[in-house]
Amino acid sequence: MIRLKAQHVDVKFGSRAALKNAGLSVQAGDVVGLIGPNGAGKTTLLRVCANLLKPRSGEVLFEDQPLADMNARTRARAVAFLPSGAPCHWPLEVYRLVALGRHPHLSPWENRSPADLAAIEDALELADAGKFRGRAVDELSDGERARVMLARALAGQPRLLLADEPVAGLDPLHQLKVMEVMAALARKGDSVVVTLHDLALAARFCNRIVLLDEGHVKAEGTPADVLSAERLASVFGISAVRGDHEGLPYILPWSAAERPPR
Amino acid sequence: MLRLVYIALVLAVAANVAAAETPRRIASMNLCADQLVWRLAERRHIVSLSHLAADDEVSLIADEVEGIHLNHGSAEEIVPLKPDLVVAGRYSARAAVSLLRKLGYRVVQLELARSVADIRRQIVRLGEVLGSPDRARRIIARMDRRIEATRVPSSAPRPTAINYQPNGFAAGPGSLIADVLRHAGFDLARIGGSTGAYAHLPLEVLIDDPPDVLIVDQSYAQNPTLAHSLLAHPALDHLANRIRRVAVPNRVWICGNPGTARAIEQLAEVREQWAGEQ
Amino acid sequence: MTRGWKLTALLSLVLATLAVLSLFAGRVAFPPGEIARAVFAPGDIAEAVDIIVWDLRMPRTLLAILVGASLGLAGAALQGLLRNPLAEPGVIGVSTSAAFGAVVVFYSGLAGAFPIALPLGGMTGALGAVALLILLAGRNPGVLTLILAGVAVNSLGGALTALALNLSPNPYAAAEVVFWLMGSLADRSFEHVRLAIVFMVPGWLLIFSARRALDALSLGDDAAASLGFDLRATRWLTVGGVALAVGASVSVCGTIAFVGLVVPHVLRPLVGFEPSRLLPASALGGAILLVVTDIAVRLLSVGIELKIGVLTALIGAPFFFALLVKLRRVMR
Repeated sequence: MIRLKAQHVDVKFGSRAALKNAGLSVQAGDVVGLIGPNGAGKTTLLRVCANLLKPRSGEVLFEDQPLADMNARTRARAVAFLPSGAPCHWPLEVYRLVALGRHPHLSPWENRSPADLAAIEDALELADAGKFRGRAVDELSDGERARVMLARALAGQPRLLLADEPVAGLDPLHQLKVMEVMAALARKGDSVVVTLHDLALAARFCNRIVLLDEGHVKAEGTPADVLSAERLASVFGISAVRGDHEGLPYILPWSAAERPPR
Repeated sequence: MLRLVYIALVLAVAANVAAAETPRRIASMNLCADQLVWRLAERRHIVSLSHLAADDEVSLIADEVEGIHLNHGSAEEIVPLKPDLVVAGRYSARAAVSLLRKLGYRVVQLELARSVADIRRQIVRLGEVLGSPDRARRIIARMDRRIEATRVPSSAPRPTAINYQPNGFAAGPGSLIADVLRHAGFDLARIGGSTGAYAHLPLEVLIDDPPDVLIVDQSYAQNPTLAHSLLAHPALDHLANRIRRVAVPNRVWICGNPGTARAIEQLAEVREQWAGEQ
Repeated sequence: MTRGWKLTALLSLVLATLAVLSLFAGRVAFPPGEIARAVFAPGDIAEAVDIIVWDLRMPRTLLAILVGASLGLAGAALQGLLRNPLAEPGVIGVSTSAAFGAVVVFYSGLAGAFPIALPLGGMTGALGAVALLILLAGRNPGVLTLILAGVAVNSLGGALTALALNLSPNPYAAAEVVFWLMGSLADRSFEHVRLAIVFMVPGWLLIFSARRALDALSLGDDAAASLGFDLRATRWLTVGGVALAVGASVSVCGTIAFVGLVVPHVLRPLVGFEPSRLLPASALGGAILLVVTDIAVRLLSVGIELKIGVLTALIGAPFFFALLVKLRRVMR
């Protein structure tokens, strides 16, 4: 089933057009990779899909309902947004931080039911952040922090997770761990949209890729379709090495390419 | 014979000098001076009074001085009026006073009156300076008659009193108010160890050790001030359930002048009532 | 919410003890038995000790608690909203502007006619300061921007207050400006308590209603919004609550600075840095700080009473410096 469909999205910041007729479509079980050069509009599109930014025109439908018309609580339960940079202004205790993600499910008087507590535990386990539960978040390394933030997003048991650069700046182990969590989510039937700079990761973990450049969607499809050699050259200016390992294909950006005339 | 001529000459010169010295353009820069000048000089000889003279909260002559130029104690306002006499207070507008003297104006400074005797002395002195000593004598005589009428025998019981002022200040033993109270048959209640003219008296201390009579100016300021709002504190209302509270407007004794006799009369009446209740 | 009850209980106990002690502090010493009798068996408010305890010390203590709680709470709320440990009503100029509003209402005679106008004036001044601050510093100001904007608003508020007093036909203006800018609990009555409480309590309620949102704001605006919080409503609730609570406090006691800076900072580690838990703790802590300072003022004053804002500034200003130094190092 179609979980999220964004169409004809236009966003302007002042006079600059950040997104032009952009869109994407997410099904249940998808891990959609949103890629493109810096400034292409990836974060902007993701924020539109999270209802954090109102587009000048276009629409976003969540399971066939206009996203903007949904009740805030219902929407918060369905869609989780994980901002880039893992911001946390106060050094909260990890467990309490993750518990914040449960808010869309809590009643006004905020007593956590057993279901809530179970969801928090599940989220901690899924993100492999359980062992830090009693520590302050500022004591953790970047990779550990990223997992805690992911657990926060998962605590709400969203059907759609929108993650902005969740692996930027992480060491290889944690990059893989985080992406594996995303894949596990998709296997459960939920959906994930993740913006990435790392093309290798995108090719490995995403079953669909959306390529953005200068606000336009240049291509949408499987990694093999989208990450063709000529697209890599024309959009990213690189050439890549391809192969497969254990039955799965991989792509390795290798060198700068000579750009074909546009 | 020559001696007679000589004496006549001296007298003539003296009379002339005296006549020449009677000021005809008098400016007053101080409230207390204003009120004395008003009583002792001709209105047409007064060119300016301080702006407080028109403020009926502090001045007894407020409704009489309409039309007179009012100054705020700066030399700039005085000089264009070309006064031949400036009267100021000892403590007011020092910079203006010294400047006016440097510019050659004749400035007479009035001390703060701290007793009824001081009031008499000031009236006499100003009377001489203003060229109306007879008027001065008449004013003093009238004042003394009124004060004499209220005199009580020394064996009569004397209640204690405190005059509580805005911001919680009380008149001390060295003040005019203390002397007025003494004349009216009161003893000033002790205020801590103070011997000066004013002392700060915290509300708690006043309530814990109250006088027989509490004198408060309850003519609420036309313009609200925090200082006055202290006098409206509920604690004072409750205190008034235990002791006698009397309202005396500040203007009758903020300056020493003949009108202060009015305060003595009013307080003597209060003393009578208090004595009646004992 | 059951976590941290220990801290709340401890703070409440300390506050209750100090409040009782406050009834014993003053110019006149009474034996404890007298004071206890006055509190529990007042009679017909005729004895000196009755008047002193009920008309002077009781409202004073109550006001110290209410104002201290309001200032502590407002500081914690502003720090949660602006995500900045230096935000507090005194530092960013909200208190001074509230004083200006109150001064205009008081000296124009409006407060004499409609007493309720006084805290309303304070509240309006406070709201004006916040509006000005947002204009100058934007919605998520960094440390430096916030301090600079705060300095500007503070200076403006103080200058306007002094100007208003200068222009008022009040012979005591010079002395009274000190009350408005340095604050005092002296000689306050139950009238002041009544006036203040009418606005403070709604202010507290508004702030408390935003407590979960303040927690979520730790994660950043986007994450908080995605969790279902209405950020605009949160801002209005917090700012409105601060304006009510601080406006009411300043209108009856003048500007008392630094309470909202010191208290949340000290208590924050004890509540796990969570903004929502910091709110009630700061309210209690602020009340404690102000009652203690007020007792000190009464014990230290020989002549005219020390202004309480002087003491809180003596505590708070060095604290502020230390905080700044610490933050600069972190920012480097």
